[in-house]
Amino acid sequence: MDEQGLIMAAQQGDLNAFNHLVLEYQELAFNVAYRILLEDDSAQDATQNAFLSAYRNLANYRGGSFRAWLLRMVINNCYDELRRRKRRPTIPLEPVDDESDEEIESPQWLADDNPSPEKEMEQAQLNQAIQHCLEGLPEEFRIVVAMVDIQGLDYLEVSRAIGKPLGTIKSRLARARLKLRDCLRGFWELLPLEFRLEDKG
Amino acid sequence: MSAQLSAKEWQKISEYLDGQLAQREREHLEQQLKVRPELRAGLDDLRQTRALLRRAPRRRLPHNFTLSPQMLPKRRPLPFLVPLFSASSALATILAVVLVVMHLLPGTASQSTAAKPETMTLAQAPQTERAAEAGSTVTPTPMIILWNYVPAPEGQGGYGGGDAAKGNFPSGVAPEAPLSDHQLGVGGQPSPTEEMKALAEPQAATPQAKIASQPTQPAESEKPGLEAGQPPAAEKETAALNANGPILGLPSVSEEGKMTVPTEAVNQQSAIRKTTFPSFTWLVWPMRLVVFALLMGLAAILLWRRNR
Repeated sequence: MDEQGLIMAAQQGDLNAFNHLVLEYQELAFNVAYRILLEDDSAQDATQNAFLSAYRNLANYRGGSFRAWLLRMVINNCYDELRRRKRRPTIPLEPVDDESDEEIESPQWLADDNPSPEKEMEQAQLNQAIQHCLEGLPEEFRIVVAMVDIQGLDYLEVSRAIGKPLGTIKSRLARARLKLRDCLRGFWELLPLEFRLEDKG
Repeated sequence: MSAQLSAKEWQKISEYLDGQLAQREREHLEQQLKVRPELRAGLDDLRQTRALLRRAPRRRLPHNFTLSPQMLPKRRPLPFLVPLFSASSALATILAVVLVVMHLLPGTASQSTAAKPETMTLAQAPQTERAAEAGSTVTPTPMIILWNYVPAPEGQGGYGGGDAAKGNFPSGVAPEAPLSDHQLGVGGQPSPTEEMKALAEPQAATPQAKIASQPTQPAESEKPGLEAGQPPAAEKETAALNANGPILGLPSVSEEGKMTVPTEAVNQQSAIRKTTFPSFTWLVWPMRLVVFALLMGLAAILLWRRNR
């Protein structure tokens, strides 16, 4: 069954059809939420709530890009979480070295669950740098960068997903890239060799 | 070097990087890139930043996000108020429509208009009865005085018009039987000349006529003469009548000399207004029903959405 068929079946109340759509888009939804919220647990909650909201509001889906419509649910849930954080700010738990009592700069659990070889280590460093720079961005810039540059969505889909005009998306993306460029320069020496070589080239 | 670029130029470079520029803008920017090294450096910076972001590792899914029936909120049954409100709304709407249609149908409209002559005849009934009595007894009717009397043009019925030389009544003086069909323009009753003859006869009237004649004194200057010829019991009545206000056209002492408007004229004018301008009082109940239907419908929708 194609996507439209699955959507129509889900609109009739077919939960299995909707779960097929969930399997198709869950990775994208979770990664967008993760890059916006920068926390694994919050991203899980936001993603799960987004799929629940999507199922409840399927009757309001009037065609067009289902991916953009679904991402709108994800972003709305991320906004809810961000607002909740502003109301009740929390101190993030940083792993501390037992011997020196200092914070570990590159915690392994942030990168992946498994012990990593060299390649995974490089990826973890890159991920840490990106996460750090994304954290310094305003929310509205972070959302656009996460969707366009990290997830590879086109401008129009992002415009539909966040409900802003195309010009706003372009403007926010340019400013976000500029800020990220400045931020990532501070991590240049920490980045994998291939990126540094790209820079020289 | 790249710091020399403006925000607009950064945006153009960013759009160029994603292939979002129109052909003319793209060609213009490419020409600029050839001659401006700071623009080229800025483009390289953004290209590298984007490449880094695109190589960001994808986060592994901690688990599937598929939904189970237990995760879905169970729909509560709709309370009995929803069908009740819906039915009330529908019923009120139907009633309002029926009322409007009943009023607008030609048959029902003619019934309502036909009722008007009936009411007129009912209103005239006591007058004609009194006129018949007056015609049958043929007793000399006492004079009454009409204050602020304005004679109507001749031939328009009512109390007649014209001057005394034509056989009509003098200004301000009229017989007590003004309600007969003859005086309403119907005819078939004694002519004004007969009534004038009756008026010319001495006051050998019935007791009712006497009583009626007492408060009909034409002017204050005539009061002493009339009061002198009355019995003592009638004097008391006259005093009481004078103290209570205008009866049979004679105003009280406090109201003498004031301009008064006859209530009959006011009533006639209001009746003319009623017949000239259509009345919408029949719309009151349909409108009430419509408002009620709207409120009930709104309540039903709100309840339904809340329990969805």
